[in-house]
Amino acid sequence: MSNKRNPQDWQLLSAYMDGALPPRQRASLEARLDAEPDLMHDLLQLQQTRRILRSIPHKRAPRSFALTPAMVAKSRRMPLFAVLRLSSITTAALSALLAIFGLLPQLARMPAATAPVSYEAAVPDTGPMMANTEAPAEAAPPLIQWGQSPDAWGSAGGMGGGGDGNVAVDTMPNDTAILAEPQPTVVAQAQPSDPRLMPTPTPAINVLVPPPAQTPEPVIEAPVMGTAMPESTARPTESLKELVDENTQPILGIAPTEERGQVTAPAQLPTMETPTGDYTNTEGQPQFRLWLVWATVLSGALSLVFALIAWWIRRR
Amino acid sequence: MDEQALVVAAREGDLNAFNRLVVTYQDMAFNLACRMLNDDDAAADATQTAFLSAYRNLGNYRGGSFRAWVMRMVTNACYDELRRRHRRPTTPLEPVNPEDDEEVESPTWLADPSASPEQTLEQRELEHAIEHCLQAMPDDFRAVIILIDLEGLDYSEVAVTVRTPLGTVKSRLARARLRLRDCLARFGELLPSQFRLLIKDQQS
Repeated sequence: MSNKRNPQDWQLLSAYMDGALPPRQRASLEARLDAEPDLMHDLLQLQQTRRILRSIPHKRAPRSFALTPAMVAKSRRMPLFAVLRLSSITTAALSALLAIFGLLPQLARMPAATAPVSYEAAVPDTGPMMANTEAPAEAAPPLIQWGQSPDAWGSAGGMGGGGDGNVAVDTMPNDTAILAEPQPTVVAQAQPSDPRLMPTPTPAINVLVPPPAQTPEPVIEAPVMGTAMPESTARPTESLKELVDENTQPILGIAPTEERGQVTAPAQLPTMETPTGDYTNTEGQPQFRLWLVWATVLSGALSLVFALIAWWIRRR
Repeated sequence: MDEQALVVAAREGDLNAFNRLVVTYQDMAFNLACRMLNDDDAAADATQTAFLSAYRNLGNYRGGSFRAWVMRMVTNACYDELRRRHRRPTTPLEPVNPEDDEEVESPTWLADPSASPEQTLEQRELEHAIEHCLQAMPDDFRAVIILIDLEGLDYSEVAVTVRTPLGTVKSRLARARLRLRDCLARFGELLPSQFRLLIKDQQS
C-alpha cells in the first residue's frame, strides 16, 4: 500500500477518475502517470475500488413514500420543540438587546471621562447648575483668603502639623460658608475657663474650637456653593486684616499677606465631568435602570429555560 | 411537466405535484438512507421524514438542483438518526445455537436460506464487506462517497447536499476512497480476482 503518497496526489487521482480535473492539470497528471508506474498502479487500485463499490445492488424503495393530506396536515402543526426553540432564540435576542441598551449610556460617558478637560467648554455648561440652585448666573463662589498672626492663636492654636509662625489659613471655597458667619455670642459661650488659651475671637476659631456639650450648638447654615454670600462676610475680613502679621512671607499655596481676608471670586474651577441633561428626572433613572437589569436577567433566564426544555425534548 | 414546474406547483400547495417528485427520487433517497444507516427499516423512516421535511421547507428552496436539495433532506434525516443511535446505542440480538448455547456470529444467520448458488452467496458476502467498510468510515466521508460513487451526483451537487465547500468534497472523496480500498484489502478472498492481483502486486 502506498499510503505514504502525498494526499494531494490522491486527490488528483480521485478527481481524474471522475473527469473533474481542468485540462492543464489533467495533461500534467497524464504525463506523470506515463512516467511513474507506482502512480499508475494507485490509480488502477482506486478505479477497482470504485468498481467494487458500484457492484453492490441498488436498493429500491420498499413502498411509496408519497405524502397523504393527513400526513401533511399533521406535519403542519408546529411541534413543541420548534416552539421552544423559537422562544429560546427570541428571548435570548431580547436579553442581548436589553443588555446593549443598558450599556449604551455608560459607553457614551466613557470618552467624556477619559478626554482632557476643556476649560472653556466646561464653563458654559455650569449655567443650568447655577440656575437650578437659584443663584445669579454672574455670581461666582466667593473665596476667603484667611489668615492671622501666630500671637492671635496662642499656645493652643490647633495649627496641626503644618502650623508654624507665619502661617495663614487658606480655606477651600466650600468652607467659606462656615467661616463666613461670625457668631460673637457663640464665641463667648465657647470660651474655656483659661482665657490664655483662647485666641482672639475670629470666625475661624469659632469653628475649630468645639463648644462644650452643655452649651447650645450654634446653628450654622451652610449655603450651597455658588449662592450669593451674605453681606456680613465683610466684617471678619476687616478684623482679620488687623490680625495678620505684616512681616509674614507668602508660602507656597497661601495668599500673600495683603490679600488675606479678602472676599474674592475665585477663578472658575475646572470640572472633571460636566453633567448635562434634564435634572428634573434624576430620581426616575435608577428605577428605570433597575427595571432594565431585571428585564435583562429575566429574559436571559427564560431563554435558558426554554433551551433546556427544548434540548430535553430533542434528546428524548 | 418539468421538474421546476412541479416544484412551483408544490410550493403553491399542490400535493400531487410534490408526490410526482417523490416518486422520481424515492429510490435514490431510500438507497442513500440504506447505505448511510445500514438498516432498511430505519432507512424507510428517514426517507419518509426527509420527504415530509422537504414539503414543509419548500419555501426555502432557492433553485438549483432539486435532486441535491432533496438528498440534503435525506442526509440530514440520516445524520439525525445516527446521532440518536450514538446517544442510545443498541446491541443487536444474536441467535443462539441450540447445540452449544453459543451465539451465532453475524452475518451468517442473516443469509437467505433460499439463496443456494455460491455466486449469489459470494456476492452477498462482498456486499456485507462493503457495508462493513462503509460503516467504518466517518459519517461525512460515507455520505460523500455514497452520493458520488453510488448515486452519481457531481461534485457541486454534493457540495450543496452536505453543505460543504467544493474543495472539501474533493478531499473527503479521495480520503474515503483510500479508506475503502484499505478496508476491502482485508477481505481478500471475497474480492474480484483483478483487485486481489492489484493488492498482491502492491504488497510484493
